[in-house]
Formats: sequence, C-alpha cells, structure tokens
Amino acid sequence: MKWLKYGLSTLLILGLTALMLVFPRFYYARADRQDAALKTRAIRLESTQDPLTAAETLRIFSENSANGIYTQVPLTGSTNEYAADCKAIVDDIFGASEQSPVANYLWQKLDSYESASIEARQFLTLSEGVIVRLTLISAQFDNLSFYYEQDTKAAIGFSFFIPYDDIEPDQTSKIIFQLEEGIETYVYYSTLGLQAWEFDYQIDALTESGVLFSASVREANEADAFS
Amino acid sequence: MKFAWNIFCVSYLIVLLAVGAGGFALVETTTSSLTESQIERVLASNTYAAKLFFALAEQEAVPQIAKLQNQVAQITEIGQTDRLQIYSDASRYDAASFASQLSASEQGYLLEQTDGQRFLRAVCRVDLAEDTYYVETLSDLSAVYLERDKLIDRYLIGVLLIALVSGAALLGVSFLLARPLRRLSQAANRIAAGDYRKRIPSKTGGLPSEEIRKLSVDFNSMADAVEQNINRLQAELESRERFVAAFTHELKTPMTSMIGYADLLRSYDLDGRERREAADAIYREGKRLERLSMQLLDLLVLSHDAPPLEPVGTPLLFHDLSVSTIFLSKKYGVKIEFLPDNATVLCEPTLLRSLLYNLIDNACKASDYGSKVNVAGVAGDGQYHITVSDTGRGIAKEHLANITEPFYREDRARSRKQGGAGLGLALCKQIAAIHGTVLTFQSEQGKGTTVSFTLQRVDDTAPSGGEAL
Repeated sequence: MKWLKYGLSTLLILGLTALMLVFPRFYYARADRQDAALKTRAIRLESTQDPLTAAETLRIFSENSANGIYTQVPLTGSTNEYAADCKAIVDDIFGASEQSPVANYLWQKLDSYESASIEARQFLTLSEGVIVRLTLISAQFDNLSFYYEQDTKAAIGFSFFIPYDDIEPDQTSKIIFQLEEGIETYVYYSTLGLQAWEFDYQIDALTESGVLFSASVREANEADAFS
Repeated sequence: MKFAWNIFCVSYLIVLLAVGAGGFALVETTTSSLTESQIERVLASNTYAAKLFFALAEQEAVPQIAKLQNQVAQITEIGQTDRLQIYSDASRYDAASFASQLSASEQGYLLEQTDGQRFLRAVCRVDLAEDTYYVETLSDLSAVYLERDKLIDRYLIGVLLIALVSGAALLGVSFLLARPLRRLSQAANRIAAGDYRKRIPSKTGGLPSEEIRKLSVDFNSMADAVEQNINRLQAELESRERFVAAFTHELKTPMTSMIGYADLLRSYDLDGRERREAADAIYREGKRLERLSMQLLDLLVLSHDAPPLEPVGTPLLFHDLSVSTIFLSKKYGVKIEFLPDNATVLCEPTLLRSLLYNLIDNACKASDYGSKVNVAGVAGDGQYHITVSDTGRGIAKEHLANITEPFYREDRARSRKQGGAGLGLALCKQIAAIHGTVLTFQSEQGKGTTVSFTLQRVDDTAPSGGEAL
C-alpha cells in the first residue's frame, strides 16, 4: 500500500510534467486546424467620406500626391464660375482687392481675361485607411494659373506673370514689394496647417518684361528633403 | 507517505503548474498578439484594395483588370511579402471553392500551409453591375509562425529545465526540512524505550528554522520533566520498598522475641523468677510494638492532615523545652544549652516541641558523656533560624541523604539497643514540611552534627538577644 502511494504520486508528477511539455504542441496544432478553415466577414465597399476642410485637403494632397490615381473628369461649371473660384482664392491669399495691389491686378485680369483653359481631374488615394476623392481644377486665365480643389477652394498652387506694360509705373514697386515680402502666401499656408518646408513660393522680378510669382504645396518626399 | 515526500510532491506540483501555466500564458499572449496583428494587417490591406478597386472600377465602363490591379497595388503599397491578384472569373481563380463560398461584399480568409511555409489568403468579392470580381491578397506569414515555433521551443526547454532543477532542489529542501523531525522521532523512540537521558542537539542538521529550534527546546524540556518524574517515581518506589522491608523487619524482631518467650512459658514449668523475666520480655517487646504503631500513626496523620499554625513566642517555647529535656540531660550525662533570640514565630507548638525534642534526643544519644548540646535560635529578617548541634560521633556522608527516611538507621544494633525504631527523623522531616521548611544536616564523623531549619517570623519588632536557659 505504501509503495502503491509512492508509485501513484510519482506517476502523477511525471504525468503532469509530460502534460506541460506536450500541451502547447497540441494546443497550437488544434489552433492551426481551426485557422485553416475559411472564415468570412462582411465588408463595405462604398467609401463614405466626410466633407474635408481646406487644411485636410492640403494635408492629404501633400502626403499622397505621388501615391494616387488621377483621372480626367468632365467639368461641372462654366468658365466664369471657375474664374469666380479663383477670385475667392485670390481674396483668401492676398486679401481684399481694394487694399492689395496684387489682388487688385489679379481680379482685373480674372474679370477681363482673353483666353482660358480649365481642366478637372479626380484624385483617388488612400489616407489613414479611408479612400479619399479630390476634384482638382487646373485653371489658366491668360498669364494666371490656379491649381485648386474644387469643393474646398484650397489652393494647391498658383502662379502668375505681371508684365510691366500692364500696370502703371507707380504700381510696379508696390506689387513687387508685396510679392517680395511673401507674407500673405506664408500666412495662407500656415493658417491651413502646413509647415514652412511643406510649401514654396518665389518671385522672379528680374525679368525684363514683368514679374513672375509662383507658389505651391510640396509633395511629401520633397518636403522631407527640405525639412 | 513520508513528510518529505509530501512536501516535495505538493511544492513541485505548485512550481510546475505555476511555471507551466505562466509560461504558456506568456507564449500564447505573445504569439496570438503577433499573429492576430499580422492577420488584421493583411485583412485591412485586402479590404482597402477591394474598396479602391471598387472605386476605380466604378469609373470605367469596362474595367481593365491589369491596369486597375497595378493602380491598387501602387496606392495600397502592397509589398513583396503580400501578393495582390484581381480576378474577374471565378473559374480561373486558384481557390474556386473558396470563392464560391463568398457572398457579395464579403471577405473570406484562411491560413494555408505549403512546403513548410504559411500563407494567409484573404479574398474580397466585389460585384460591379453584372460582373463579379475577386480581390485577393496572399501574405507570407511564415516568419510569424517561425517566431511562434521558436517561442514554443524556448518554453518547452524552459519548463523541462525548471522541472529538473526545481525537482532536484525541492527534493533536497524537503529532506532537509524533514531531517529535524526524523531526529525528533528517533529521540522520542529512544525515550519510549527507556533512554530518558536522550536529548535533541541544538543544531539538528536541517534548514535553520526558529520553529524547529523551539520544537527541539520544548522536546528537551519535556524529556527533562519526564526524566525527573521517572527518577522521582523510582526514588519513591525504592523508598517504599525500603519502608516495607524495614517495617517487616521491625515487626518481626519483637514478634520473634515475644513468640519465643510465650513458647517458653507454655512448654516449660518455670519458676517464679524465670516466669517474671519472660513476662517482662513479652511486655517490653509489646510496648515497643505499641510505640512503633503510634509513631507510624503520627506519620500517617501528619502526612495527610496539616494542623493550623499559630504565632508562638520563642521564650515560652524554649522554656518548656528546657524543662522537658532535663530528663535527657540526666539520662545521657550531657549538658543541654539553649541560646534563643526573642521573637514570635508561626508554628504548631506541640509539633514543634516534638521536633526539637527528637533532635535534642538524637544529639544526646550521639554525644559522649559530659559533652554539650547547643540549641540556638537566631532571629533574622522575617525568619527565625534554629540549630541543634552536638560534638558527638557524627554521621557518615553516605547516610546523610537517607537518615530522614522511615526505619533508616545508621547503626541498626545500637539504635535498637537505645530503643529507636528509625521513625524519629522521619517524623521530624514531616513536621518541618508542615512548617514550610526542611531539615538541613551538616555532619562530620568524630566531630559532631548540626541540624538546622527556619521558621517564619510574624512579629515586626527587631530581634533581641535572649538569655541562656
């Protein structure tokens, strides 16, 4: 009886030790068998996108411009409507036309352009797990170019050339001074959440025929290089 | 089962279960977290691809699968570990049965194992107009499962090592813990077998433990008490045996004498003088038997019923004693001198006088003719010390321990000749015990004996020197 108890307790110890050693193998073999069976779950293919703000639009475009699909889409408005969009952008950047010589000039050109070219493209990308569609408008009125998102009117880039012949001599120095400071451009992009290295603007006032100014949001990789 | 084995079994099982369950929980938490995150990543990637495909394909009248697949792969950035495939025909699809189980806008996934490699195949079914498309992402998760297998291997090696090391350590510790108990058990068996001197050493050889040390000390205390009780019982038994033997002998001697003289009177026609001598002998031995029985009765009564003590002045006590011992002084030709301090002691006066009388009687018997016996009483702080001393023949050392036992006599012949039965000092010892004291004997052969004892004082006055009586 005594040796039977010793034997049984020894068997219990050895058995439990063996169980501890083989249990994980059995457990994971069973788990693998379960994982080998098909599991399904419902998904929603239609992406519902909340309306974006101008700042979100610029941020998404800046980060994903090189990683998206651009598709040409038909225009949904008249040329004058797009010119009005550009006027609003000019107002957002350079302030009221009455106080800003640059805005005053741009407004005049947008009111009396001679030629215009408008294109619309849809930009499709994936941002933080959400599929984002942006309608990008590329509008050119004579020497003025605007690249903006249609819904938010966020200016992704713009450029214009002001020939000296188009402005009074006393206005030339004021326009050059305002563009050289670049304060309005800086304030515009900073207010929309971009850091200094995420956008670019420059003035080329040395051309003999006029003043060339351009500003644009940098692509993410390009901005990284600058930062 | 042995205590050590029980401790080992229980502690080993606890350690094994704790290490095994804890280790497995750790492995399971790590691997499940790793695999689930990887699976979720692949499923999310597959879902985005399907959504993108759906959004892009919606814009085209006839979707160009190859172009859309490249665009989706570019946007979702599915890398080399994941492979993206879009099928427009389920029959061309690798896992036709898989696809047939999917409903519209449903994602299915499973783990596949091929040549030791593990893949997660995730497929989304996309329905566009009348066409059905399958967007599949195949991701190689071999690295994840390889990491899981490594973790399991480490767990197994760890459990095995801990089982071996802890098993050996716990077995050793268990036997060390039980070692003092085995020593205690062996000592208890030795004591039970009669070896009452057996004790547990202070260091029992096991793990240092306050409880075990205290148990050893307690065990030794118990063994001491048992040994003392056994020794006391043995001494009492021997004393009773000696008492019975001595009592029988004391009865037999006078009875033999009386039977002899009675038989002489019955068997022979003796003249008047011889008859008187025989009758005198029978009478003398009879009186001796009577005295013996009375002393035994006193001894028995005193040992059971202690009389109440009362305050008694020592002057009166010693005065009575001096009067009653004049006879002894004349009988033995010894001068008895009393030197008591005046005080009041707590005693039973009759018994105390009897005690002192017996001691003085013994001192006189032991003294040479013309010598002196001193009886002194010294009052101390709350105590009264009485000594009876003589300059007689003294008592041999080997007899000193036993002289207060009933019927014990240093010299039987001389004692009987002097009329003693060996009960006097036994009575004195009993009377001293009633007074809460013991008799102390100091003796040297040829120089004399001093017997002393102490009584309790009840007066508050300072002791005053008495006069010699």
